Amino acid sequence: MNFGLYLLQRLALIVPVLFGLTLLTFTLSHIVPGDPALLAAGPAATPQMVEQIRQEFGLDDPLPIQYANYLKGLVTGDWGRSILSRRPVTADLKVFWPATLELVLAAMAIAVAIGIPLGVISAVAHDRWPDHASRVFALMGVSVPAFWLALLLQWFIALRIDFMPIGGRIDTQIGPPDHFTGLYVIDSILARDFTALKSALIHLALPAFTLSMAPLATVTRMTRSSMLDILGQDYMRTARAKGLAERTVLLRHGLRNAFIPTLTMIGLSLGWLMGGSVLVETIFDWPGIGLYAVKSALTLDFMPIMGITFVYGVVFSLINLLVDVLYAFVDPRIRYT
Amino acid sequence: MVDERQVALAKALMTHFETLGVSRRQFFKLLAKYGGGASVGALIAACGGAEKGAETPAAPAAEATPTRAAASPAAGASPAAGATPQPTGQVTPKVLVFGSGQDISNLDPHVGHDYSIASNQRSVYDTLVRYQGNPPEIENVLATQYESNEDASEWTFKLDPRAVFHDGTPVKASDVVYSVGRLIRKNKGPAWMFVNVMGENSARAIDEHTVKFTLNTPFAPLPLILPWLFIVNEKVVKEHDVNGDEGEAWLLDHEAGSGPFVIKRWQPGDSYEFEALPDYWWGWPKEGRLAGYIWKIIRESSSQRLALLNGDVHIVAGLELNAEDVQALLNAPGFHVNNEPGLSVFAVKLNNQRGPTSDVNVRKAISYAMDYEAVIEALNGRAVLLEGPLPPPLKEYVSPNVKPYRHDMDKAREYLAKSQYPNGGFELEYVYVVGLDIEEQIGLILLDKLSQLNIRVRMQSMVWPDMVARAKTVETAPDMMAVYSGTSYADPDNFLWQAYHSSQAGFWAAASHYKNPQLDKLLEAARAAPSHDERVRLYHQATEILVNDAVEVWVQSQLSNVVWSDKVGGYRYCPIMGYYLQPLWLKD
Repeated sequence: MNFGLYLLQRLALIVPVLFGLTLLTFTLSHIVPGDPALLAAGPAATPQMVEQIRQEFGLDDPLPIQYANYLKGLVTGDWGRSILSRRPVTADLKVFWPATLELVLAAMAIAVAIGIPLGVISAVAHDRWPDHASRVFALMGVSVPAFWLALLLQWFIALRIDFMPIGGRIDTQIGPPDHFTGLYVIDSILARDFTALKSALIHLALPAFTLSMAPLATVTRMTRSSMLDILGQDYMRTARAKGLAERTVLLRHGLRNAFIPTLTMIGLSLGWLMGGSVLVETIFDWPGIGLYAVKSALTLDFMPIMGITFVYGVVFSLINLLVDVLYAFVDPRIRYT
Repeated sequence: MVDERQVALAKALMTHFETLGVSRRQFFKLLAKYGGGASVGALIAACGGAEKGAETPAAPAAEATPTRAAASPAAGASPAAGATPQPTGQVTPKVLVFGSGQDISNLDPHVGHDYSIASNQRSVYDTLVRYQGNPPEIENVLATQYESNEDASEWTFKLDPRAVFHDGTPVKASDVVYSVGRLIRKNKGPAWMFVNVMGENSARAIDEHTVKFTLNTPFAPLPLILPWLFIVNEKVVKEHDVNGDEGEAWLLDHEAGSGPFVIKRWQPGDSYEFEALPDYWWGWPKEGRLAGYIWKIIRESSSQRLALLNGDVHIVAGLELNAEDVQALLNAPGFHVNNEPGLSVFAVKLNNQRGPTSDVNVRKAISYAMDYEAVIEALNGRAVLLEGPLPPPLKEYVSPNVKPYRHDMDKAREYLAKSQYPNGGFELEYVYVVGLDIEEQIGLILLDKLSQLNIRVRMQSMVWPDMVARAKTVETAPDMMAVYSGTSYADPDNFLWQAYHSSQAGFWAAASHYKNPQLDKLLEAARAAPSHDERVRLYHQATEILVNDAVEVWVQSQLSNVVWSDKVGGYRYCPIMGYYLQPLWLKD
């Protein structure tokens, strides 16, 4: 089996996973008590108004019919409408998804950019002060609650020293750049709108840093631990014996071999960050998918809940696949045959 | 330069003047004189040219924005109260930022219905009348005058002939008729206030500026629900009809109104920007006006406080502010925190049809056991005690004979002794919204006080949709359910009908499942009584019955937590339909 066939097989396997996911989400969201039509109709709606909403959204159909209609819509691109706002779910996802993606990618970039060098330094300086300092730093990273750090950063950096904005994605007076991807940093670069770029970056900094703390800690510790295993290997000694520069030995022979567990962890963390960004999104008023999910769940808004879960399912599956594929690039000994 | 809106407006004005017997030539002279714009020539060309031989006015220096002076009809309809043609103050129009925790999920005037939606619908649409002040009073907008017949079943409204939609076409009686029909056909959002009293064809255009409502049933408070009837431009809506949806998909984030603002930017979940129309037909406050405003979504209480202190927002709705942040802002220089009670009512709904709370003496015992002062203390003093089922601004409708229940354990024991459960010994479920601290605290106060009567309280938090579902039947409705009720129109009918008329049993506001034919008759009679005094008399009787039956434990009405900066001018609290931004300006 060649790599292309392997990839196709893995992609095909995602289909039953997603089917199972839709079935589970649909069942769970429909067996919970509560009447979304009654809620959507408003405080003093007449029974006729409630019934009209039920008919409009097909809630009076038997559950198997509702599920079949949902699947049909999913395939044809009609993911339903929110019962509360009546906006199409796809339109909402198009707005909220890029915001979360931008935040998560920025957080992971910070985690990787700081965590990996810190892990390497920590391993090389094993049991010396840099190692201890990085341990304390990592411990703080996983222990500090995100909402607390967020509030602290808001209070100190945004309010006391007035260095950064306290929330939002971009200065309200500037407004977003032209829409290409929905990721403001990329869009403002593509639009050559440097005012928007500056504003997008400073708005991104605090929430991304807050969100990066947990993965930063784990990336640091994972890199350190893998590097420690690698540093004592014979091939490392051989590399040094050949007279290679220490930097080359550490990065090309050490880090590359130590990177597989870290890569797995980064992949899993990306998924976790997407699901776990809600607290940071709330405090920094980052209009992302986490907030959308919570709001929909609290109001029994089925269609957005199912749409969000489906997107998460797709993203998790693809990240897992991507990580598996990247293994082969990091470690040439891994072959998918 | 002349933009499309100016051209449309000029065309509309020209048409309007022609109907008044003013020729095109005279119109263009007027335009040149009062509009005084460099682009008058361009406007003339865009309007299809002047009459043959008409003089092209000499090009003055200023921009040709049609002013209210030019727009005012010769017939001399008097401007509405409080409005002037153009701000005469020296304040430069600026963009105000309004912080709110709630999104604008759907701007369609006949579909969307909550405070944030209403606030912004009021910005882009006009209504026949609107609410202002506290207690809220009705003020004419599109209507110049109205009257009803004796039994309040027929109402006639005269429209302001100056009113124009954003595309420049005049607001006509046919647009009002269409708006009524659309609201009833949609049967969504604010329609619940109208469907019981009018049908799709209840409104009729008598002439271009007169509309008559023939109601299905007499309804004296009609003017009080009309601020919810937003008038849409029939032509524009029909242009955006898709598969017979009457523009519903389009109007979700577009508008077809005649209000003071137009949509500039729409970013769901983040911010919504609106731009002021300098030549808004109804006019602006004499002190100044806004250039526009941004409805900025800030969800967290602490973030709202920081945004205010940092100058990022000028005013916050305050619904999300917790007591601690309100206190901090009360002490902060340069900010005002509103201290007026709103139109909300917090009550503990008691199930009147099932279990121990079906016994009126048990209900009275609970009403006396509640420690009302402790609740006010839990709210840092930012609430007032209720004296019956209505909020403080509607106090005149509560009978002076009503003696509100206050904490008195002796009386509580006395009434429990008269009940079927003289020694207590039963358990009551108290259901409240998960995460709503104050409802939890009130439950704990009840738990403490009722334990002294040998009544156990089981606290049960739930998400709101589940509570709504629980309220549906007598069997599932909780023994005690914590409920905040707001209002959509400032009349006792709104509170009393939805909570106590037997037809409403099963809705969350009527979770007590109270049934009393005598009360039903009083509420129905009050709806039909056109005389204010007669209505007051009927509601006095109704409130006496309700309090005597201890239908619920009426506890408190919270003070509004709207906070605004010193820089905001023109703000006047009105506890209904969200926030109206047209009267505001920002000081230099």
